[in-house]
Amino acid sequence: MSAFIIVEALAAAPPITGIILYGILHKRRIAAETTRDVEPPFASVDLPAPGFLLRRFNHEERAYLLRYKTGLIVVIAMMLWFFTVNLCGGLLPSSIADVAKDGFAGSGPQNIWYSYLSQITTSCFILFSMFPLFAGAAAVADIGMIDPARFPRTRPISRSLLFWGRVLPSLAAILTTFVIAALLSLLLLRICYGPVYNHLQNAASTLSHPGSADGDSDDLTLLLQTSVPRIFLSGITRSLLGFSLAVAAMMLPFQVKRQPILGVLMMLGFMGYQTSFISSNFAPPAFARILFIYTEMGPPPPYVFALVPILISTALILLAGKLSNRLQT
Amino acid sequence: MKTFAIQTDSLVKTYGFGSKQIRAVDGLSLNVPEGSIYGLLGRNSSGKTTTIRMAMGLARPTSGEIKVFDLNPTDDPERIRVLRQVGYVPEDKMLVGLSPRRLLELNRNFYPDTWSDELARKVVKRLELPLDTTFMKLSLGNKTKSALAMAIAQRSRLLILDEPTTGLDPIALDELLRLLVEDCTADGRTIFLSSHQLAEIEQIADHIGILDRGKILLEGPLDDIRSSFRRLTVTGSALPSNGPSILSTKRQPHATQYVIQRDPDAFASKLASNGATIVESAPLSLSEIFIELCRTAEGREENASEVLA
Repeated sequence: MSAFIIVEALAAAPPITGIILYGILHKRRIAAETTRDVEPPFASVDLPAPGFLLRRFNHEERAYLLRYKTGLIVVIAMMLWFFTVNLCGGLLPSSIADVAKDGFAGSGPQNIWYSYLSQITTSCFILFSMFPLFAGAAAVADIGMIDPARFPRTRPISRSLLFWGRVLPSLAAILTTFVIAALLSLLLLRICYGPVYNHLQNAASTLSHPGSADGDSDDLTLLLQTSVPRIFLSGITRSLLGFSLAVAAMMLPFQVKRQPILGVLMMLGFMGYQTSFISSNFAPPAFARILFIYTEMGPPPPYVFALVPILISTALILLAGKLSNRLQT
Repeated sequence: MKTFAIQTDSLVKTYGFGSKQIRAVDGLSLNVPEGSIYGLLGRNSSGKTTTIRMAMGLARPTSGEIKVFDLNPTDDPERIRVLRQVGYVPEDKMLVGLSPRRLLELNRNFYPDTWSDELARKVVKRLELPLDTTFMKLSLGNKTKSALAMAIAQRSRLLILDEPTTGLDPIALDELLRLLVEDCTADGRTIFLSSHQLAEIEQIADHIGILDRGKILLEGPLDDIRSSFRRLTVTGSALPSNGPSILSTKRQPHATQYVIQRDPDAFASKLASNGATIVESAPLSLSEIFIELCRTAEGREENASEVLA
């Protein structure tokens, strides 16, 4: 079975199982509640005593923040699973075997390292683009649309809390789960195969003519040039960019969102955003470099360019916050 | 001193730009006394919901001023203080995709100082609201009941109900009106409701505002309004066709019918002193007053357009 199918099956199985289980439990709960009388209080759902993070908020604000807690836990669990499975995909024996089959003639540890990195750079684009986009849209869905927005917007909560109370926890969840998943994948690599990256020193010393026509040397050169910290940093900045784009789009004024031309422009932007992650064949290299998009093994973009997507994302989120304050019809 | 739950002054709200601009509310000045049951009446697209949305901080006035308990509901932090004191039932009753039980449990936490479980149970029981039906499966009537239960149990100082009778059957409607009068006006609390259902409003409201095309046509205590409007059927010669107290005049073959909008007794005495005979003097129902006012306003508007053309 190909490594891709195994990874995708592993990634999809728990959420699907979770959804089925939730459906069964939800039906049972509804059945149990239907038999309950109206007379008892509407369940003992008083808010728990505030912990360290929530102490500074009043009762109403905590009610709003805690309402999102369950959703956030589900998002964190799903993201952690998706990130970890996908980042570890290159560690599957079939993935490593594929590296050798594709003509990479390194040693055993080099094959493992190559497989691990190529999985993260070339196969995880969906992970870094789609998931943060959906997470961003989901985070602000109930405050950025006309009908679902009405309930929270007519409760006694400040507009800034309405927005930041959704955005900051979601953003923190995405970034934290990404970092945890990256560390887990490195830990798993170490546990399963040992410190394979140490063998790169040997590769560097045996590499006679970097950049020559020799295909094996080229692959080895690319492997040596690849920067692991920047791969992960690029994953973080891409996630941040996807998240902030979705949040800003959701917070556009209703009058603007109703314009059909905007729908077309957003679709084009989304397609462009997606294709830029797939391969440098689709996105101009300069564009990818400026946005710190690092999707192929080889020389990394300079660290300073990581500031570009970070600044763009910050600007987009701040703009969305402003729009959220004015989100009225 | 008379205090007001809602006050607007020359309030304007426009949507769109250029030739597509719509003036939803047009220089509205409204006074909703605290402790009253105020019925805001108007035809479709007369600006009722827009006015309510501005009172709830969901829409920003283009110009003019709106105050709720003398606070500005448009911007924080005053907006938060307003929302702490207001229970709201929106026009389409779309709130959160939860079962009524979950919705009530959720809403309770936003109003810890005023919420009453007892009142929530009472409303649920009297309106026969199914508590555990999922939101998607709730009928329109049950969505309305759900929104009402939530807003009423808040025991807010002000209850804003936008078309609160949507989808309710006659029994539920009757129960709702009783609940509003019995349980929602205690301690000087105010009910501000908009509706097309004039008969129901007439049963419970003590103050009325009639809105048409974003403008207020009439406002005041219902009893005063009822006593100042009268339909007079008169015979005689040299009868006036217009005047300050005449809202409309209808010439018939053998008589003239007037709808009088202020001081009908004085008007009748004046006609009698000029030799006219008052054949009939009948009070108008709220529905008749509403229709007469809207038609007259429409006629004036058309005449003004013709003059301009």
